[in-house]
Amino acid sequence: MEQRYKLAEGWLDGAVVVSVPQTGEVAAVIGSRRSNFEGFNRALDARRPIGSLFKPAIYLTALERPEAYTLTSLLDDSPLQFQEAGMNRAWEPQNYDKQFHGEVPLWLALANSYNVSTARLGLELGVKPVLQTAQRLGVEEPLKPYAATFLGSAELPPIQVAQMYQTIAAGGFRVPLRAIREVLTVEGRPLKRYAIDVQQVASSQSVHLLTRALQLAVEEGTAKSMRSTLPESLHIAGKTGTTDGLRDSWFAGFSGNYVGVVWVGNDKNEPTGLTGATGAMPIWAKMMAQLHPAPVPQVEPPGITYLATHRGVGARVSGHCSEAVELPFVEGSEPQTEVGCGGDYTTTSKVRKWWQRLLR
Amino acid sequence: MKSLQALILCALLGMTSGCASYSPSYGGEPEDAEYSASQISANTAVQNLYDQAMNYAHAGDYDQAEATLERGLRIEPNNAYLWFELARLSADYGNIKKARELASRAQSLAGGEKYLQGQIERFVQGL
Repeated sequence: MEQRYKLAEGWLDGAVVVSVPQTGEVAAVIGSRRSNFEGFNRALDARRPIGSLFKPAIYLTALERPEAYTLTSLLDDSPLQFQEAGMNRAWEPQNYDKQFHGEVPLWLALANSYNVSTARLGLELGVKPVLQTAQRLGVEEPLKPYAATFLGSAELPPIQVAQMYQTIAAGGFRVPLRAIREVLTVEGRPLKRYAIDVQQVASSQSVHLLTRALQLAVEEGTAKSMRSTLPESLHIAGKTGTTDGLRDSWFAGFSGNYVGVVWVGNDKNEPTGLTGATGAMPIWAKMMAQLHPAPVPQVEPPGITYLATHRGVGARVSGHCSEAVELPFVEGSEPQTEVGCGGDYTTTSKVRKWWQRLLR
Repeated sequence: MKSLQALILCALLGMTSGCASYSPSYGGEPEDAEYSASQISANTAVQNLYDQAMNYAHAGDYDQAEATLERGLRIEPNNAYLWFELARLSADYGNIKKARELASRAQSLAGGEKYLQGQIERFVQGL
């Protein structure tokens, strides 16, 4: 990777955590590019800004309110300026491509990792509820109560990111990560056991919706280059993360049997020239390919309906359409309006809209 | 007679652990186990571990029963029956909160298993 991106030899270091989603058992912790290095363990001790890996906490907070947000809710990705108490200057988040994208369906904003619409969504939801979601998912470090935390200024060790994604991978059930099962006496009797502990911290339905959006990030969003290494039939869900000046490259995601987090960066916090998709993700994919990955189970919890929706407009779409994307909805929150394949509203939808306006 | 014993046991335990509303699952005869190993999995290793775990549970060795069920989960982490047995063990320990969480986990994985779903629901109501 250093040769490919013309970096000095030894410039990059990294960390990896792999665990089993359902039981929380840690399968691997790698704290340095030198696997036999016994010292500072980056997987456990390095606190690095996590960039967009934080975003699922925001989107889950939204999706837990199906009466207000669904995967097709349109988010506003136009320029944003925000002044916050305790901050010296106004906060103006930018997208990675330096463009603004107008109104975008919620799933697409996460899959393409748009910063501006995500920040606006976070502000709508409120800083406190979003940070509480991150803590519910398993983040233990104190998080600064500023909106900048939404876009990943939070500095976390990879092991805590692994805990956060473990909870998502296990359908909303947090299982504390464990590296020791039990301590035995010389006779082989257990002296101390570290039993499985599990706590449901988010509804299965909301996590199912979030997982679908994270699968779309891999199918067609920021992580789509993964398909050169892992087949789409695995339905991998994951998220890329890149920090300012390309200093940290992250990828966190899961197959059906492993959840993994990879960080690539430089110990002096200098630029690496790598994004999450060019640095951490290929390493994650190659590693996962060697672990005999099982597909993410395509099982929907009760109370979920799948519908074909238009990728640009966020309304339902009927018939064969190349712009259609199948999305899950919590029953009762399905979009009511319908568009044609070109994104134009059908007559029925126009009449319904007119009728709703009349009733208001 | 059996119910009287259970009542006395519960009253005694109740002083220390508050088990008043729950009667132990593994306190009686081995036939209390409601599933045969072949019902809970097609994998023979998991079947053996399940049988072992039930034997430990009936002998009152809850630690070994729990450890053995966890070994089963390492092979089949999505097996709702194993999660449910862990929930029943926790209830027997008097850890009602943990039993409830483990039962929710079992329920989330029990899709399509109507009888098990109903049983988990009744179990949670009885906690």
